[in-house]
Amino acid sequence: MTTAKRDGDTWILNGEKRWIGNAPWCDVSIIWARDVADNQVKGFIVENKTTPGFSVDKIENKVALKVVQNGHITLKDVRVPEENRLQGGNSFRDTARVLKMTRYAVAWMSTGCAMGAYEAALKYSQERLQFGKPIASFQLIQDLLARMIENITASQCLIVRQAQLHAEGKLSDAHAALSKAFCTSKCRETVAWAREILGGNGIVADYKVARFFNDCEALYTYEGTFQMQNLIVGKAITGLSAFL
Amino acid sequence: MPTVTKDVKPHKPLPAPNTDFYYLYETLPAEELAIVKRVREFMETKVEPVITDYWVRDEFPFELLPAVKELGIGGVAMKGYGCAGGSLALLGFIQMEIARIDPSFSTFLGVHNGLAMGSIYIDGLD
Ligand SMILES: Cc1cc2nc3c(=O)[nH]c(=O)nc-3n(C[C@H](O)[C@H](O)[C@H](O)COP(=O)(O)OP(=O)(O)OC[C@H]3O[C@@H](n4cnc5c(N)ncnc54)[C@H](O)[C@@H]3O)c2cc1C
Repeated sequence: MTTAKRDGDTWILNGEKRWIGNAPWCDVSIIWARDVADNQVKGFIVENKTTPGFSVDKIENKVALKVVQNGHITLKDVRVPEENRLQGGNSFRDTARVLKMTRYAVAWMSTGCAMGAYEAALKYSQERLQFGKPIASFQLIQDLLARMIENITASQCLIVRQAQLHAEGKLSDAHAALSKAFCTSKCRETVAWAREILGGNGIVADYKVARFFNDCEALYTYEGTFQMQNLIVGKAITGLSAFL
Repeated sequence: MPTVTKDVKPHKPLPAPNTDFYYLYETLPAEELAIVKRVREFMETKVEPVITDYWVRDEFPFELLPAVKELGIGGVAMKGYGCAGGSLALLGFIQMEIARIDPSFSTFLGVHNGLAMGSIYIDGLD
């Protein structure tokens, strides 16, 4: 856990942050930390390269989202001026307003990931011949392709409605959580079927599908895992919180 | 008696993959759809040809960033402060388009625009 302690006009931050995207090279980070005085989460703008006590180790050997780089941040008595504190971020509820928007976006991204895998698999199945015919003409392959476009279309309908709910001022945390959970889990199903359709080539990065297959694993987990999203939805539908 | 395999030669060219089965892109206004098309073209012509190689090598294509800047999608769905503006639907379609070619690239932009700029936009004060 990362803590913040007020000291006159500055704050002292201590703790660690794992998996922070773009951290190995970026100039400025937003650090959320729990204020030891009131136990509330507060947000701070921290300059990565010039702030003493702030260090980043690049996370190596990932097998998903290998293009984007993630860092493990360590904060040791990092001093941040009060003016760098996000003045509207005074509790976890304020953090949740940000997470609602990022979960909204991951639902779209995972749908895009599924589209990329589906398009590659469909094209492959139209070209790959077995027994003198394109494998796309086989019933069991068409069954997989139909399931894939069904998943994609259902996800698209959901996220377009999600955008309408936002425009109408009705998008809740539970709406964004439901979309994120549904679209990432349907993406996981879809990329696995794409990988199946490519046979052996499904595990070779050059055929694209393997990349989508691996990348989906990260989308399923980040911005709150599938289980976390379901706990948010679960609380909304039962009226009971199951968070520990 | 051996079964005869009929040769099913396609009579017409097979359709290209279509992932807009329910015409959902039509829900965007024309000017936002034009931006999404620009992003699609950029992703297909500039990112797709090189990205698998970067993925395999665990590297980020920094040299593409000036062209990303040219796309003018920085701060999409945020108003003022030099941000691109537009609807949240536009932001969604853009992120979908980018992830369709490379989910790492959409994550890179999601962290920058969403987690970092979004935190300041939502919880910061002038
Ligand atoms: C590629 C990548 C990029 C990321 N980028 C960022 C970033 O830019 N910024 C950032 O802040 N974070 C980032 N993250 C962190 C990410 O949000 C966390 O990894 C994620 O929320 C899960 O937390 P964890 O890894 O600690 O898993 P854990 O919390 O240890 O979970 C492990 C498992 O236990 C389950 N579990 C945990 N608690 C419960 C419970 N109460 N009930 C039921 N099941 C439970 C989880 O669902 C999961 O299956 C990134 C992660 C990845 C993989």
